[in-house]
Amino acid sequence: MSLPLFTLHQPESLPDALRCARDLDGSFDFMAGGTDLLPAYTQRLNTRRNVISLTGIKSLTRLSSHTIGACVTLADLIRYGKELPPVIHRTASLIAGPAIRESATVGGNLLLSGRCNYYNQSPLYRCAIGPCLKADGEACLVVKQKETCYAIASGDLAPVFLALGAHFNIAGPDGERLVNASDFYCPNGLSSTILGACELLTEIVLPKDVFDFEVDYVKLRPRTAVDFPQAGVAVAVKRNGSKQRNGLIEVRVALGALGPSPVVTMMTKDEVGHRTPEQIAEQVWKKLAPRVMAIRNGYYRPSYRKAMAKHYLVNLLKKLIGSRG
Amino acid sequence: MRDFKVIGKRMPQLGSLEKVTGAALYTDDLPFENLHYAAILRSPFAHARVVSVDTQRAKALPGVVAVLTGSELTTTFGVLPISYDETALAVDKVRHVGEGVAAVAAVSLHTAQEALQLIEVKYEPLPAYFDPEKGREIVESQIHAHGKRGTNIHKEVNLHFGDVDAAAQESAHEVSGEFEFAGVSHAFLEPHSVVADYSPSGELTVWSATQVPFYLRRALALVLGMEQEKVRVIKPCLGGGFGGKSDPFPHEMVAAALSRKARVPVKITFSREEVFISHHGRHPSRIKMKIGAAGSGTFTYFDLDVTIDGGAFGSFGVVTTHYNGVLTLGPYRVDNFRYSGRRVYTNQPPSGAMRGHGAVNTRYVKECLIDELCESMEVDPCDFRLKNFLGENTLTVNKFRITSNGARACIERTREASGWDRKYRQLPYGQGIGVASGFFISGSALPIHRGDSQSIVRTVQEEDGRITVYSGASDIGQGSDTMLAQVTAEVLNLSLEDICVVTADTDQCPIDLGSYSSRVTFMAGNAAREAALNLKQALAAGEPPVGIGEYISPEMGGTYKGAGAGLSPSYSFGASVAEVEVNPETGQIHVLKVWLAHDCGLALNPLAVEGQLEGSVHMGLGQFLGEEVQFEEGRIANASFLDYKMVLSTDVPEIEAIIVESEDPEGPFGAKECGEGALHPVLPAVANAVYDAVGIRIRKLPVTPDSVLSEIKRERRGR
Repeated sequence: MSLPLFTLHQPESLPDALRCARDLDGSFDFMAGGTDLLPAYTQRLNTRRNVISLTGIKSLTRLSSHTIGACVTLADLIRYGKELPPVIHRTASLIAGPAIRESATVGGNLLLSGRCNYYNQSPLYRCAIGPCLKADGEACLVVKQKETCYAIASGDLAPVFLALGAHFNIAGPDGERLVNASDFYCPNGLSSTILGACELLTEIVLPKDVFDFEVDYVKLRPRTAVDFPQAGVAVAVKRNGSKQRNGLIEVRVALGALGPSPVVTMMTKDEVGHRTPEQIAEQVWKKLAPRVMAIRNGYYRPSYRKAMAKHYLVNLLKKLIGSRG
Repeated sequence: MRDFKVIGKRMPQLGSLEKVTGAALYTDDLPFENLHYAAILRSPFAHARVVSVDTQRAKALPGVVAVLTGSELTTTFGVLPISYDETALAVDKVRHVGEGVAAVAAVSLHTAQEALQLIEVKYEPLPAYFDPEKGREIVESQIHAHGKRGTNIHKEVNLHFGDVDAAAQESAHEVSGEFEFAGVSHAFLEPHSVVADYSPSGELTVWSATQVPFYLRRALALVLGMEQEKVRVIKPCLGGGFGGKSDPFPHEMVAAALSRKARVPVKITFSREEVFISHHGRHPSRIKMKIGAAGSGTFTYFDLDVTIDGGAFGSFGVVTTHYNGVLTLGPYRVDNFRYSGRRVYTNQPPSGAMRGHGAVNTRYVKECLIDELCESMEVDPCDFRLKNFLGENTLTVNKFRITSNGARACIERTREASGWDRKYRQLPYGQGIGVASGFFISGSALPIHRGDSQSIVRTVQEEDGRITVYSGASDIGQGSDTMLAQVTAEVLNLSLEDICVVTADTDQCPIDLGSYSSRVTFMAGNAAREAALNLKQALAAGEPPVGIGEYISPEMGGTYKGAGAGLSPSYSFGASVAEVEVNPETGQIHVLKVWLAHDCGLALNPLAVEGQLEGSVHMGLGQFLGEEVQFEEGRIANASFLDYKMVLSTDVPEIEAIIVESEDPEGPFGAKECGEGALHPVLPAVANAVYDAVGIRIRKLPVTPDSVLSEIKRERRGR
C-alpha cells in the first residue's frame, strides 16, 4: 500500500505548530519521527488529511542532564544523553533497531499508539474480520464491549520515566503546563493520555533527586532487537547512603506493555522495612495487579507476560537491593 | 584433491559490488517509458461464490487504463501439469482470503488502488475449511471438485517396502511420537515483482522475480493463449527465492493480461502482506512416526504418517506429499519402510515448495525420535548414527541410487569440532548439546514436463577472444552465475574476468528448468562443463567457436507407482551439532553455537558453500524458535516482518561451517548441492540439545518460551 494523500505542514516554531493545529480544527496528526504514524497511515488506520511535522522545531530537540526535548531522536539520546541517568539511554538502545532509532523520537515513544493484534493490521485483514473499536468499529474484537480499547501501551521509555518520577511539559493553546508522568496516561487505548486535541508534549523533566536513584529496566520480547515489549519492568530504588537493605528510603516500580497504559506504584521506607526482594515484589505486585489489563492481544499469552513481569521484578529488586540484611 | 586454477577458490559472487552499492537493478528498479502500475483486489472471504463483479466505476476513474476480472482469463495453470488448478483471478468462487478477484492498471499505483475501492463484488459465503483433518472427511462444499471421494484431499501416497508389521514384532526397541509444525515463509527480502510489456506486434516480454523463467514462459503462453515463441521471460537481479518464486504466479498472468489490454508496460510489485498471501510457503504438517531397532543397535523399520495442509491450490504439493515420505529414508539403512501421506486442500493461502522441500519437518521428527531411541537404548547418538548409515554406491530400500556419501565424515567432524564426547549428558542442568543428520536430493532426476531438456548451456568465443556462457539457469542470489563462470574458466584455463555470463532470458539462453530442487550446480554445472569442453575441441579443430553442453540424468529408480519422486543423480549428506542454554525460569532458549557439516561433493566456491551453511542455520533456527505464518480462520494474522519472527542478526549464534568433500563421480568436478540439504539437521540438533539441557521433548514448532516453561514444570513434577 502507498501512503494516503495528506497535506504536510512544516512549522519551524512551537507557536507556529500550535497555530497550525488550531487552524486545522482537529483534522490533523502531529508527527515527529513518523516511525509509528506513517506505517499506520499506510494501513489506513485513523488517517487524517493533515500532518504537522515537528522536525523543524529546534526547541523540541534540547537535551540536558535533567531535561529531554520530545523530538530528540532515540539515536541522539543514546549518542548525546550521557549526562542523563544511564537507564535512559540503556532503555533507548533496547527500542527497535539502529535505523529506526535515527528517526524515532523520545516523544514518539512516550505517545506510541497502543498496539494490538487486531488493530495493527492491513485493510484486507480488517475487512475480513471486521473493524475494531480503535479503528472505526463499534466494539472490541477481544473483550466484547464498546468502552475500553485494550491496545497495549508499547513504549519502553514510559515505565522508566514513571519510575524516575519524571514530569512532562505540555504546550497548548492555553499555554504550557507541567504534569506528573504518573498522571499523564489513561487506561484506555481510545484516548491513552490526557493530551488535548491541540496539545503537544514538548519536554520530559527529571526530578532534582533523580541521581539518588538506582534504576534499571527489563523488557520481555521474542527477539533481542526490533520487537515491541510484551512486558516491561522498571525499578528505581533510593537509599539513605547505606548499602544495607534497611537503608532503603523508597522503591518505585512501573510496568509497561501489560495493558493500555503503563502503571506505577511506590513503596515507602516503612513499607519496604526489612523485607526480602521477593517479599517486596509480592507487595508491589499486589498493588499493581488490579491495574494490569493484559489480554490476549499480544505475541505471548497474558499469563506468560504477567509471569515474566513478576519474574523480572524479583530479579531487578534482587539486583538493585541485593540480598544483604 | 586435483590442482584446480579457479575451482575450489573462495570467490565473491559476480555482481556483488553492484548489489552492495545499490547499483544492481531488481525488477522493481527497472526503468520503462510510459510504465503503468497495477493493483489487485483481494477477497476478504475464505470460501465464497463470486456472484458478480461490477467494474464500471473503476473503469471510469481518470487514469485507469485497464480493468481485468477472472472471467476474462479462465485457463487454469500451475507448476505441475497434474495440478493445473489456479487461475489468474478468481473465476466463480474464491478459495482463500487474499485471492485476487479483479485487477486495475493505471497511471499510478495510488490511482490503481483508488480504483479498487470502486469495484463492487458480491459474494455468497460457502462453508470454509481450515483443518486438514476435517478435510479428510466428506465435506459439504468441496474446495475443488477433484478432491478425492467428496473430500478435500488433494493427493494421497501410500508406500510399503519390506514388512513393517513383522519388523515391529521383532524389534527390541521402539519409539514413536506425534508432531505438529506451523507453516513458515521463505521470507526473502525482495517481494515478488513483475513488469509485462505487450508489443504492438503481438509479442510479450515479462521481467519477473522468478526462479523458473522457462516454466513461467510456458504458463504465460498457456493462460494468454499465445505461442511460447511469442513470449519472452527475463529474470533480472533477484533478491532471494528459497522456493517462494518457483511457481508461475497469478500476478504474472495479471500483469501480462493488463499489458495486452492496455498496450502499455504494466508493473506489479507486492506489498509484504501480498507476499505472505502468495508465497506458497512450507506446508503446515502433522506427523506421526514410529521407528524400531534391533538389540544389535540397527534400525528395523520406519513407519510414517503425514498430513500436510495444502491451502487452496496445488502448487508443488504432489511432490511435497511424496518427499515427506521418501526423503526421510536417508542417510540410514533400513529394510522396512511404510509411508502414508496426504495433502489436503484448505481455505488458506496455498502451500508449496520451500528450502529443503517436503523433508524438513519429517527429518525433524525422525532425528528427534532417533535421539529418544538412543536414550532408551543407552547408546551415544553419534555412535548409533555411524552404525546405521548407508554406504557409498548402494541402493535404499525404495531404489534410490546412492553414489558419493559423506554422512560418516559429517558426523565425525561435527563430533570432534564440538567437543561432543566431553559434553553429551555431562553439561550442567540448563545447558545441552544435540546432534542430527541430514540428507537431500541434488536435483530432481526427472523434469516436470516429460521431454524437457534439463539443462543446456551454449558457450561461445566472441571475436575479441572473450567467452560468453549462455544458460537459462536462474541466479537467485545463490551464485549460480559465478558457478557457471568458474566451471567454464576452469575447463578453458582462463580467469573469471575472461568469462561473460548471460542467463535466465528465455529468448537468448537455451533451456534450464530453473532454480529449485537444488539442481543448478549439478545439472547446469555439468552442462557448462561439457559446453566448455566442446568449445575447446571446436577451437582445436578450427570449427565455429561454439560449444554446446547438455545435462540429462541417467536412468535410475524403481518401477513402483511414484518411484520417480525423490530420485536424484546424487544426494547430499550433513550433520549438525548444537549447543544451547535454556533458562528454566523463563523458558527462553539461547542457542550458543551451531556446528554444521555438509557433504557438497566438492566446494566449487567454498565462500558460497559457507554462505549456504550459515543461511541454513539462520533459517533452521527461525523455524524452530519463532517463525510461523499465523492463520486465523484463513486470515494471516502476522503478514509483516515485524510480526513474523525471523531470527535477527542479534540472535544468530556462532556458526562453524564444515565443508565435507566426497567428490561425487557424476557432479561437475565432483560437486553436488549445498543450498537445501544443509538446513535439515539444524532444527532437530537444537531440539535434541534442549532435551539434553532440561529434559523436555519439543513436538510442536515453532517452540515458544511459554510452552518450554510449561513442559519444564511438567517434567519437574513427573520426576
